[in-house]
Amino acid sequence: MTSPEPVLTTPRPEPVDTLDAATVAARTRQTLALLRRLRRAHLRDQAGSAAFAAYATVIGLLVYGGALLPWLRRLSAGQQQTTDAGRLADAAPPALIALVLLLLVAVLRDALWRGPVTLPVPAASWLLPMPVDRGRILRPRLRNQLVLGAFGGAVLGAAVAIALTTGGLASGRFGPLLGAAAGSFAAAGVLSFGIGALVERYPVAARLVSRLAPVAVVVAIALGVQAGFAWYGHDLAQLTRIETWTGPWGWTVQPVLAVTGPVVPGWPVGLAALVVAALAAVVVAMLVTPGIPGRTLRIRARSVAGFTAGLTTLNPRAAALEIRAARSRPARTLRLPRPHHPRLIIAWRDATALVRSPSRPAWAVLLTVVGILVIRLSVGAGNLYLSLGLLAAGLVAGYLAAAQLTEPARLDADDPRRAGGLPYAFDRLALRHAVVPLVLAGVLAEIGAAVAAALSGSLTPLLVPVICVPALVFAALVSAYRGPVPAAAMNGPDTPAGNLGMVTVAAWYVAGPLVAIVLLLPPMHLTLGAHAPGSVLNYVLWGLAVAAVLAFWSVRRAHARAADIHP
Amino acid sequence: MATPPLLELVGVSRTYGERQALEPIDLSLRARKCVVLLGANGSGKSTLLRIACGRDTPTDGTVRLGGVPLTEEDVRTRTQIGVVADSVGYYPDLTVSEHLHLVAVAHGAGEEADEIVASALVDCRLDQHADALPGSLSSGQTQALLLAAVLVRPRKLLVLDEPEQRLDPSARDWLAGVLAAEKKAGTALLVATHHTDLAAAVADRVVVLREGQVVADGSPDKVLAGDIA
Repeated sequence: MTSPEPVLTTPRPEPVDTLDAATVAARTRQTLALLRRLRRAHLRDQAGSAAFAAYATVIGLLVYGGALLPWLRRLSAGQQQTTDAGRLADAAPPALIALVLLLLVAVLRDALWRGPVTLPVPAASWLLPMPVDRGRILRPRLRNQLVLGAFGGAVLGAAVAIALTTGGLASGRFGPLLGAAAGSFAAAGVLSFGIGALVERYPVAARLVSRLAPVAVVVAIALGVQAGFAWYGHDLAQLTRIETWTGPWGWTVQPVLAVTGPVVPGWPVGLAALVVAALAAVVVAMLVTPGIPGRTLRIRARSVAGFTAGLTTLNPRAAALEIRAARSRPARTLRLPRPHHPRLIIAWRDATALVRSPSRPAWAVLLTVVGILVIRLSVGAGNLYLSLGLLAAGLVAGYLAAAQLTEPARLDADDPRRAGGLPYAFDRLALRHAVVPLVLAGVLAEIGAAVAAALSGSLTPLLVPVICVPALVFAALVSAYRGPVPAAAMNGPDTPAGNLGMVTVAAWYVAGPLVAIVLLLPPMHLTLGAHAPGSVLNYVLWGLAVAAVLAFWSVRRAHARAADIHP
Repeated sequence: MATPPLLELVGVSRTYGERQALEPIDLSLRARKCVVLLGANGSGKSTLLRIACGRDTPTDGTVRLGGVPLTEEDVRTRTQIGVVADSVGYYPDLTVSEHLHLVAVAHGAGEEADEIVASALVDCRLDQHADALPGSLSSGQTQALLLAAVLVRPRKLLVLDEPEQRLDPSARDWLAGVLAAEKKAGTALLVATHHTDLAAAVADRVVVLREGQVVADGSPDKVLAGDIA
């Protein structure tokens, strides 16, 4: 390169060391006014879209809400009585506390990677580096999210009120219950979004949420179990009363119980504590929001953009990967002994991936337990439809557990080039990825089955995992290799009932598990109703045949996925 | 008495989890000088640049601008340091000149904004694209827009991360001219690049990084000739 010739003619604005607050405020006003003026057409379009969405919502409410009005009128008149009202009164308090706790965790986990304060990428790129008042840019976004939190909480509270009234509680007092539930849940929504801003601002708060969230989920599950015990008549009212004072999750439930019973003594104090906490969270969030680091806002802007792109293109996998990347923690370097035999190498790779992401096996364990419990419930269900419904729900939990264990296959399917250096055809690799999930899911399910066998004194439960686990694992592999939904499926066929694009998209995503569950229901139901292992061998063969079909399908899907990348 | 360096990094290091992205490093930069960072991908150049302009916080060490510790939220960071880096998002509905106008006004240009923007468009060869939307620009023109955005604002220090990427050879000559003009006007430059010819053209000092460590540091003549191991 030759010696450069200076080429600039642009006048140089003079740098300054300080800017007084009045100057910053004036520049901020000018800059934001200029931006609004330049983007007037764009903002008008946005406002038009929002107005149309509001119009469509109102029309929808009028059309469908009209049909609900008589039902709501009956609710408010107290004509809903069920035989389970007493059970519901006992089970509802811990269940509601668990619900509020899970919602709080969900909002705070969301604050680890996204909100409540997020900027669009252009604003993060162009506005943040400027000498403008960040408070003027960020606080309105926080305010909108707080309003959204209050609205979402109120809607959820209304849903809770309707559910409780439908269950026979608060007979004739639907109005007060609606007010209490909507109001207290709205306050909880505001509180959670306010704390979310602190999580965004302070890394120490984010670390705390990361560590405590799994504990809170376990506590919520325990509360769910407690609700189950209460439903079946165990008297845990004293424990529940204590739980309503353990924090905002309990305070939120107190006003609801004040209407439905059992009334928590001193509940106005709990309500006051909730309101004060929510207001304090709003004030503190407003104060700290301008100090959210620019780096945090830039990273989140990109994550949200990627997440939104994933959802817009109906590619939930891409959206989920964005969340995972945004929440990424330092890589764990736990090592497994490296095998030397080529047959073991994919199993070693898959096991290593699971060891380094222990939340996946943990979820698999949890979902397996849930699945086993729900399937067990299906055995004692009073009628066939309920029994089949519970059985299907249990199989869904089993499928989700298997999906957690097939994550390494999903990573391959995300980008088949990753496996390009391996001496295996990409479609055959799908079968190798089945080994670890089959072993782990099989062992987990057999442990549960062994407990059931010990309790029942029959060996039949031991055969249940043999019927369903292989099929569910291969269904998970079918899903792993499906890839993003094709454009043709999004367009969908036109029918007299309208375009079926959404149906074909849904079918694309649920085809594997749907086929597996539908085909597994008969042998599973018949096996669970049988008393001797000898009579169920045919059903075992049925389950294995379903697994073979799904294995073939997963190989076909893997083949097609490779062809997507290398046509 | 010598004037203090404009930018001073003292014992600055950065780790991400267990990975040491940058070993402790000292670096100082005065007005009208240019330090060029060379190194392979992943050597720590961009990490060092992000720390130098306050967009990342060092795990250890301090960064000073004009002798005063620097943070991203410091008003001086936003009024004195211009940054050209990749991964910038654009307002899809704002034209090239409107993007520049926004920056100029935010920095207090007032009535002069139009003149400043017009000159910057010419200086960055974007005058024919003033009314174009960013999505319609070529990658080289997009890079030119980023450079124009720092020309319309005040600056004492320019931090540029691979500013030559996506530029053709003639545009790289032009870039070297822009950087030379900036130096002459009093700006300090901290540049990360893969192009040794750009380093030879504008650098007063070249620092070579490898795996987060400084492996060579000296004048461009010596470092680029390989005299400093």
